[in-house]
Formats: sequence, structure tokens, C-alpha cells
Amino acid sequence: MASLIRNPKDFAAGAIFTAAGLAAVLLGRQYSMGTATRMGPAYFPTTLGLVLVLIGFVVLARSFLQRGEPIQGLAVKPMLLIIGATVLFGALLRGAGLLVALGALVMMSAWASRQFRWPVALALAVGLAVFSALVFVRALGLPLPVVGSWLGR
Amino acid sequence: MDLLANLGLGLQAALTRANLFYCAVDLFVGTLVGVLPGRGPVATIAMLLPATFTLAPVPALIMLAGIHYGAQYGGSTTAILVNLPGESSSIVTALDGYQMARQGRAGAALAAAIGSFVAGTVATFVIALAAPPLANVALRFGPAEYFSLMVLGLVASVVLAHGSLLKAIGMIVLGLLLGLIGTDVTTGTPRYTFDIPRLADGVGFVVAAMGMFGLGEIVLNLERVGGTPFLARVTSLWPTREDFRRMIAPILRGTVLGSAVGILPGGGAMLASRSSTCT
Repeated sequence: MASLIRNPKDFAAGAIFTAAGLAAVLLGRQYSMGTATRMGPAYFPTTLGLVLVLIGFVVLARSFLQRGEPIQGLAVKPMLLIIGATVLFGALLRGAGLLVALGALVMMSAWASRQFRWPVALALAVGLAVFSALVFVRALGLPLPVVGSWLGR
Repeated sequence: MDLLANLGLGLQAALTRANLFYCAVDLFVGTLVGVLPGRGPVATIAMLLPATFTLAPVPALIMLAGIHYGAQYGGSTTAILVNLPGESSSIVTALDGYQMARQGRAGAALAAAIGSFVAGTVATFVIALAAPPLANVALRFGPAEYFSLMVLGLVASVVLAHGSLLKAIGMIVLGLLLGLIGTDVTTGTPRYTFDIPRLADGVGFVVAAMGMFGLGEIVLNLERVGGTPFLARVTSLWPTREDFRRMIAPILRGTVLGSAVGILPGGGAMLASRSSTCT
């Protein structure tokens, strides 16, 4: 299998394009299509999705024909950690508050680094949390809870 | 000359010691807030608006102008140094400025804001001079003209993309699809929102840019095995004579284009910056 694919980067790109296009078409099926003169909400996304699927197919097909560079070292763990930390921040912000959410964000993303050291990461988390609480909430008055509703208050 | 008299009157009002002081203070505050990633001029003005309530109209306007320009400059700082554009118009700054910073020329990139200053000043004069006739043109800018401008933008992004043409088109289609998230403009149906009220407004430009450039950069840095994360070192803030010489033509081009495109309602700084990088 792996030997058949001559351009792994293009193969991945084609797969992503195809998947995104398919998702757009399938998710768009719940909306009404309309006609070309009175386009419904599904008309434009479905067309775009089909175009994207088509492009994905061509890119996929080309990856079997043309030689290309391999994908080097996909850093899965750090990538998941970074994206997970960002999502976690969003999930924690309302309920647990800025201090907890920022602490979690910094600790988790620092853990993704090869140069991770507990004292540095902890100091950064505390410093950033205090700084953000002072600057964004106290000084600029952004409507963010410093300590969230889950923790009393 | 009506125009010169009016401009003179304006300068007279602006150039008092108190007003200059307000301007300086708010430029400073605006830059300070604008430097924070993800805070553009609009957000900055919105937050600092209450501070102007107690002032007379003239100092209040001067204050807001100061905050706006300060925040704009501050936004370009984060765009250049850490590749995190604060608002839509500095995304272009991030594209080029960050590359300069990687080559150790962060200082020159930051100082290239001189171009913004020249263009801003000239554009102000142009607009004061040509406001009545230009306003007529802008009002006649209908859907067909905006559509052509958008097509031009999309075509230009394909042309400017490095690498595979097909993949560039694919990414544009993908971007268009992302732009469809939110309420459908013609029917009002929420599309691709997964019943999350937040998504009814669509995916913001800044959000998309932060994800693409900011998070993407972090992940890319982590993938480079054994490599050190990139840190920009700001060496000399003053561009070299060579830089100056090479800057003149783009500054003039940007000035002309910016004054022309900036007068269109709705497009603003975003369209102007996008179309002038494309030339």
C-alpha cells in the first residue's frame, strides 16, 4: 500500500479535501436545496462541497502518479496536547473561571514541549493568570469571570 | 480656497497643547492594548469609549483617533513578531512581516510602518480633497462591483499561492465553506451550526487566522525535531538606506491603492491591505 502512494503529502491533502467536501454535502442535506433561480440554504454549500470532493479526488489520483516528499515526523502527542489545551480553555472559562482555565491551558501546552520543566511551567501559569486577570478583567473590563460559578460565588 | 481654510481650521483646533497631550496619551494606550494578540482597533475603541464620555467633542474625537492609530500599530507588532494578527487588516502584515522577522529583520519590518504613516497622511489629504466626487463613486459601487472585487481577491490569492495550483484552489473552496458556517443571508436558516448559538454569527476572521497562523505555527515548531522554537530578535529599529530606497515605490503604490479602495464603504482597511499586497 505504502509503496503505491508516491506522494504522501498530496495523498493526505487529497484525503482531507475529500473528507471536508463530503462532510459539507452530507451535513447540508438537512437544508432545503431550492432551485438555481431561488437558491435554498443548501444550494451553495452543496455545490462547493462537490467541487471540493472533485479537487480532492484529483489530488488523490495525482499522489499515485507523481513522486513527492514524504511526511516527516508527525508530532501527534504535542499536536493533540496543544489543540486539546485550547479546547479545554474554552470549556473551562465560563464555569471554572479565568485563573483555573489559564492555568490548565499553560500547564497542558507546556507539557507538549520537549523542554518541559515543572518550576518554569508553574511560574509561567501563575504569572500569566495573575497578569491576565489584572489586565483583561480589572483594567480593560472584559466580561470574564476570574473565579467561575463552579467554585462558589 | 475653501479646502485649505477648512483644513487650517481643523489643524488650529487640533494643535492646542491639551489636545496634543490627549493624542499622545491615547496613542500610547492604544498601542499598549493593540499589542495584546486578538485585540484590534475596533475592540480597543469599544473598550476605551467610556473614557471619552466626560470630554468635549473635539478632544474626544482626537482621543479616539489616537487610540485607533495606536491600536493599529500595536496590532502590527504582534503580527510581525509572533505571527498573531490582532485584526483582519494586519493579517497581511503577518504574512510578510513575520517572514522578515524570521530572517532577523524584525526591526526593519516594524519600522516599515513608516509606510503606513506616509500612506495615512496622504490618504487623509486625498480624501479631504476629493471627498465629494469620490463619495459619488462609492455610492455607485453596487453588488456587481463588490462581486468583481471579491473575485479579484480570490483569483489573486490563487496566483500568489506557492506550490500546487490545484491545492490552492482547494484551500479557497475550503475557506469558502468555512465562511458559510452561520446564518444563511438570504433565508435566515442557521447552517452548519450544530445548534450552537455562538456559531450562528459564523466563524470570525480573527478566529480563523489565529487557528491557521498562531496554532499552526506552534504545532509546526513542535514537529521540528531537535529544532529550537523561533524567537525574533529585534536588532536595529531603523531600516537601512537600502531598505528605504526599496520602500519608496511600494509605499507610493500602497498609498494610491489604499486611498482608492479605502473610500468604498464596508471594505475598509481589510480590502485595501489585501489588494495592495497583491500588486
